[in-house]
Amino acid sequence: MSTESRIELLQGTLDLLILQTLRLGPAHGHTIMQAIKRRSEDVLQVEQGSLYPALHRLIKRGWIDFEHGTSDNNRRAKYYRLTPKGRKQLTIETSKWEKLARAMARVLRPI
Amino acid sequence: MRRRARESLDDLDDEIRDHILRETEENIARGMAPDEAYAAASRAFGNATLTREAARTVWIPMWWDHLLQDTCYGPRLYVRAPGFTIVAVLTLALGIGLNTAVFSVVNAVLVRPLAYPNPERLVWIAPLDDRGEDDVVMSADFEAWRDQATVLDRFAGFLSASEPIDVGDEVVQARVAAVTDGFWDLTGASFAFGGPPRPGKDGIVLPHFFFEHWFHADASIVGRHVMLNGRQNVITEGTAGQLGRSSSWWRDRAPVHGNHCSQ
Repeated sequence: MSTESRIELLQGTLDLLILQTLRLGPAHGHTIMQAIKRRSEDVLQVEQGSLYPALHRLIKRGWIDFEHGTSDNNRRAKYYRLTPKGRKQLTIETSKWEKLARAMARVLRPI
Repeated sequence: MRRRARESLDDLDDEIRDHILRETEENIARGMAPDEAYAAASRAFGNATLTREAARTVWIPMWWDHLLQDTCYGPRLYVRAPGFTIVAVLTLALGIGLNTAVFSVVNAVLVRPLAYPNPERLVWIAPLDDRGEDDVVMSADFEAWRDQATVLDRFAGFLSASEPIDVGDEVVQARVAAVTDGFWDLTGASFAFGGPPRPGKDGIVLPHFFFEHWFHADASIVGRHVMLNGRQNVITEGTAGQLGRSSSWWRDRAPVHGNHCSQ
């Protein structure tokens, strides 16, 4: 996929994407990033450096938690998972985002 | 929260390294040479130090780090360049001191209300002399103002001068203010004991400091006659313990004598 067709994430949307990704189950940082990339069909480009600060922010808010485990190739890894509070937040954020997207679409509709 | 911060930050380095390794492996699987794969993965990750910093500031406020750094830097600089430190400290001290002094004056003169009842209703009236400074009001003028003014409720006048007063063992020179009848009421003076001279009568009111210093706080002096400026006067009533809120002007200076402007 060419660089031009990639879209940089809007401010604040990374949190929502992380929460949604973790709904499928615990994952480590690299997997989260890959999942976002894959599920957006390579359109969304997660700044790798901003992924970890975002994870820390979510831990601090109590929306996600982490535990240590061993990964597929026997390496120690940190697995992040959604907390009940995070699940609730995800519902709120998702409906907020849908509202925004619908509104944007209505405004941008050809006149 | 601090434990949580430590736990979260502790293995961030490992996590970043792991992340880059995984990316490298994927790059190799896509057919890159190992070196190239690692370089590309590192490039894709971006500045790891910045990431660490950003994650840290989620838990620890930036100002706290800066405060710690500055606290360490201060003594180090003092050891290395004491002259500079001393000059800097003196400059700060002078600046702060000067500011405090200026503010104290502004506060006392402009901000704080006068230490009298209804300060917003007090006005100062005086004729000006040739140099534009306050001049003495003539008794006749004062009486005319007092009797005829309609815009002002009450009038009080005083005239202060340095006069000899016989305190018993010796005669001391003191600043004495002669005041008019309305003075005590207008200034809201409070009396430790006794009270002001009755209207129309002469008498001496002593400020607290003068009473303590020269009459040894002896309350029996009330009613005693003393010589003030060569004339017999009775210490009518006690001392003005506190004149309004700040009585320093009176405390430091004078017995107050009087009842009339014309003495």
